[in-house]
Amino acid sequence: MQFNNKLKDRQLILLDEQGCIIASCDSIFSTLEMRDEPVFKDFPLVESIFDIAKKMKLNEPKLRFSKIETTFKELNGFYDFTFVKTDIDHRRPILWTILDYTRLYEDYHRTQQNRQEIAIAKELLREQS
Amino acid sequence: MIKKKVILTGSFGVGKTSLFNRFVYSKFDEKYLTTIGVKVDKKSLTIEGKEVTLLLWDIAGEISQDKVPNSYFLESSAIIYVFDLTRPSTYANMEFDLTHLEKMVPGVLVKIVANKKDLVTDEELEKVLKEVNKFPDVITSAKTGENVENLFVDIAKSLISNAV
Repeated sequence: MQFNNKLKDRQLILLDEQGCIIASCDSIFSTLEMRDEPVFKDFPLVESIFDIAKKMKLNEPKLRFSKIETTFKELNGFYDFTFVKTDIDHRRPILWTILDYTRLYEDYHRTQQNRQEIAIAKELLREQS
Repeated sequence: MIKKKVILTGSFGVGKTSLFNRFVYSKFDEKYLTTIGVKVDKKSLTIEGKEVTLLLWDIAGEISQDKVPNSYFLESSAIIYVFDLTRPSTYANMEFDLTHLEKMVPGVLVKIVANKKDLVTDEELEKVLKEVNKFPDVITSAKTGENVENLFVDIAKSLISNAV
């Protein structure tokens, strides 16, 4: 099975009931070495939500997690993950989409960092005075 | 093997990521680096001969817990509510937050953690403990590691006994 995905900031992966990769467009990272066992070792978040994803029904809204920082070495930025049940040849794999929002979220991260550092400093000053 | 999802939550800058890093990687960084979304990692413990894997979710700090996306709490077994002993704003909303969390995940195990013990004197600690609405279950220092392992081991023990 092959995906026809031309977007470099989006990777589509099909997972079977055990969490193993059936197919991937490999736009962001190669999954060739990851095909023999569930993806859980590299992606604890997927392991953590997999039972929920398995229980999803067709046409149920996507399960979405935003601004994820992973420990996977090929994903060094900020990503959104979505999970949805699909129907392909009478099978019900889970479509896992990885969206690379690193550039967008890096700006957000900087802003948030500054805002929170200021808020903490102000509160600590107030406490000391 | 028993697997349990555990969430670290609380206001920003209270040390959730530091507790996470101390427990999972045995490391501590003095520099505050905000979490804007979520980081997930796991650690396995052997408790009374049983292996339990804690899937830990370190989520972005919010002033109020009703700002945290509901999907993060799905099927969680325990919630660690962290506050900072040096900043009253981080425990001012505790009662509201705990009520909200109980509504989101009824019956979930909640541990209240007072962090940054290394930054307060015994007198200051006593003063804060009189001010807070709910007495913390554990008083920790992610910096020195004090009580961090105990916190997670206690949670694993409770979750195992609930699973039996």
